[in-house]
Amino acid sequence: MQNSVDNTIFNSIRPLFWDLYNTLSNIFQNVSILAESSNGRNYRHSKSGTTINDNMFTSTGAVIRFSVKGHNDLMEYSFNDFSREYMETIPSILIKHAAADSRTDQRYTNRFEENNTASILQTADSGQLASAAPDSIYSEERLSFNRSTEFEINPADLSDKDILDSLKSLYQKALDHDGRILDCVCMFQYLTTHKMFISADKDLQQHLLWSNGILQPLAGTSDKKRYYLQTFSLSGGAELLEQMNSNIAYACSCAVDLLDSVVPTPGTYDVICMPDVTGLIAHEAFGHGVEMDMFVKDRALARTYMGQPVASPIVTMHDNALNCMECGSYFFDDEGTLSRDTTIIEKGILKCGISDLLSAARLKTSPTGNGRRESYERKAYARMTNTYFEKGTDRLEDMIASIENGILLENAASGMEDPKNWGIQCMVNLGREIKNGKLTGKIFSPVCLSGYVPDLLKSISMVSRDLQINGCGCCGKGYKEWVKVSDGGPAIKAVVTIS
Amino acid sequence: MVDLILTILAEHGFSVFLINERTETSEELFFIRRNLDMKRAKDITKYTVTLYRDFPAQENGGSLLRGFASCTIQKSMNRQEIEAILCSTHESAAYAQNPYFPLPEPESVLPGPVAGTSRPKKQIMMKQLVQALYSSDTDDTTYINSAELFITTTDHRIINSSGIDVSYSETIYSGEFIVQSKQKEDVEIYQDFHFSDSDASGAETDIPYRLAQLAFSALQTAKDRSVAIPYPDTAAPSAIILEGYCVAELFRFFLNRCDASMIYPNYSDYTVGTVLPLKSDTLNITLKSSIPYTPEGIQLRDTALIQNNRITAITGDSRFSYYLGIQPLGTFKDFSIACGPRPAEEFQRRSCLRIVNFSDFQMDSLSGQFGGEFRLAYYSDSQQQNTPVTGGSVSGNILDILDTLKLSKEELNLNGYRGPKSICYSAEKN
Repeated sequence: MQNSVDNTIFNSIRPLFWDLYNTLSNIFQNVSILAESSNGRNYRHSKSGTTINDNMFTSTGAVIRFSVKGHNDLMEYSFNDFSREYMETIPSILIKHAAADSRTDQRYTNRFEENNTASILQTADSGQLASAAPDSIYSEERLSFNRSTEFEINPADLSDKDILDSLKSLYQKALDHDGRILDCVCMFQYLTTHKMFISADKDLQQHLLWSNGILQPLAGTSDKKRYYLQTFSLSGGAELLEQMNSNIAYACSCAVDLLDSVVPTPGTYDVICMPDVTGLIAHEAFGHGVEMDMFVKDRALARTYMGQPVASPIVTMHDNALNCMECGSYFFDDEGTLSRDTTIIEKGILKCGISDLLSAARLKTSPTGNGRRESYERKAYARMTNTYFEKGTDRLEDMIASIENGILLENAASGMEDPKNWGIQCMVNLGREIKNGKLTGKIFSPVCLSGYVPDLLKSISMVSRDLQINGCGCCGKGYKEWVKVSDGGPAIKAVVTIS
Repeated sequence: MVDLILTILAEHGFSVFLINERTETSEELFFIRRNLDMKRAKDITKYTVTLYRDFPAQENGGSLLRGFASCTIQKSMNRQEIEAILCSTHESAAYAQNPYFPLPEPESVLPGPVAGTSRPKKQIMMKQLVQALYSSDTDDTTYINSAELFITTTDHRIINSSGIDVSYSETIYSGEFIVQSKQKEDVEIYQDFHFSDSDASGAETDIPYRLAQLAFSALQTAKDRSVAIPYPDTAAPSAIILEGYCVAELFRFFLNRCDASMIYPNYSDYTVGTVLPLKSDTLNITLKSSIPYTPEGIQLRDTALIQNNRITAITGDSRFSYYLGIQPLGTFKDFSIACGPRPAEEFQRRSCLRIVNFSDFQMDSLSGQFGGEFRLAYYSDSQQQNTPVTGGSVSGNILDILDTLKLSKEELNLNGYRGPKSICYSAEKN
């Protein structure tokens, strides 16, 4: 990596935001401002044609967090007009927004009352926060920096023609690979994100670049169509296109293999989860369950398991926004907390959750730098970044050889979290039958993993010595609040229920 | 801003374009239990510009080509920044060449007033939503754990170079809530909702009433999940009943399969006249024009998609519709299905599994495969009736269940879907 993302984008508007901050600080307390400018493109070529659009995360705007003096009740206001005229009206807008708040000091108690509805309405009307944050959510130590991630090739410096020519070449290679390949969606997308955070103790800027690639060959016969989804990602730029080029043949072979797939017989199996499926388990089965805003809401079983064994002793799991060259990386989160490497599970013991600033304040723990927003338009929640299992010492071929009757799982499709009850639902697109320690060539699809999270994690008996992390997807909180994350790990051997 | 964009386009000779202006204001409340956790508001305006360039047939082997690319103009951009991004987008359009298609043109008959133009104030409606949400929350073992409520008004303006210049406004009342029950096991149920003032007979009363009903139902579901037993391995239902919004997700298969964007690349072979092999009940799907225009400016009208099991329309944007040689009808989000002739209780006269809550229901529009793990179902056989069960899963293919598919008489009206609340199909074949 030789180049850094431009770190001068806020130079012209930074004084304006500091003026606004200083004005607001005279009126309100706990004031912070997050300004964001994210730009990128999405290139796509397939049988349907060629398109160039903005990246779905393209966004420019700011969010102000504040509370009325004498109260700790946090409110937020999102806007995207950075003109001086508009910015000068913001204090009066916020005063109006908070007006009801200053009229009453009545707090709603958590105890159920006969006239609970009336009380709730009063609470909602006044903007009162019963479970309020502490007096100050910011420290007295002042921190200032302006940091950028690195890349080899800036996609914005390439011509659209260069990028599309690469995608068209991949498309043609897919069609030439096998007569049964009917189509291949070839995509490249990138996003440059600039963020500036201002508060009493912070003056921070970060400038990030990530790139994603997708190859989705569709194979078909007269009565069956199946696709395989191969994804690529990195914290970096258009150097990713070269990786895509080296994987097209494998993706096409898998799509063709899937034409002969059958649904597996339900039951309990020894399985090898390849890194993308390991990542799906890390993310869906366990990661969501340690988001500590769920602890505050009494929605996560993990809260009662802190310090207890939840996985095999050979399992260690991280959420790490700091040291991964992946899409979930950043220097500070959307509440101004510095990012870090959080060890969630250490040698099978549940050690720590991941938290946003407010959850940490309410739980009286240290924030872990996981307060993330879909954009400046949305609320911050405790969210994952780059979530993965540590690598182990086993060789993949030894892991396969150790299985008498099982399935090798690859090509994770989807999963759904269940933090409250630790249920698992993961869909995998491709399973390869293992008999007597060897792959037989028989293909299963789709494969639905279900069961109980600790049962699965405690069954892990072998962990491979290589580690892969991928961040091509987005993570939702429930069915909304999409943020960029990555997940992965080594290959793991486990026992799972396939339904 | 629109005038500035139009001026720059004219100055540069960018003569084929589409501009979408979108202004959003919202009020948002976030609750933990009954306590307000945060209050938010937003006021934002964005502009999306799509630029088109044509490339003559003689330069392209006889085929007229049209390239296009789009960009977002931020309200904070100055003239120079807007000019730069529009020029860059025009350059990009040269490389995203596709077979020619025309942009939509204005229709001579303009739609009537859009529902909801005299909508209630956000603060008043928010109070009513809060009241409705918590109206049945009277139990200390089963209650609303947390909730998020949003009232968002969006003003849209769509302008293109073919003469379309239309506007409309919509208000969406949306959110989600979690119900927790500790009657026996400590469990929760997730419920989201999305109501538009255009699909409510009187937003001020109808939407709070529907939210109250939804909350009541979710509280009951959570209570039953709390006492549910694990789904027995030995269960062998002869019929599967799917109840709730998963029914809409299942039938969305036909909306996707009947869209020109799936037909053009041969992902779907549906055409007008295709007859679906239903044998028990009759399928009638109507697409609902809950908004007056698509983002391209195509005027939406209620459209019969499937009548008496026969496909009667192919939807699509202007591009893929032109490629298929059909009139562009636009793409619809909302739809209704005619209910069946019999009450759902008749479905349960034999051994059956009635699934009312999935952890995540999946429907693959390419293969027709559907399924998911259920959090609450009711199992009935000759030994037991309506036993709450949890933790099982169901899967199938919609194309395989059509011949035994039955639709309930009871109706569900949620998240843009209005139609049978439940469906039943034979599990013996699947």
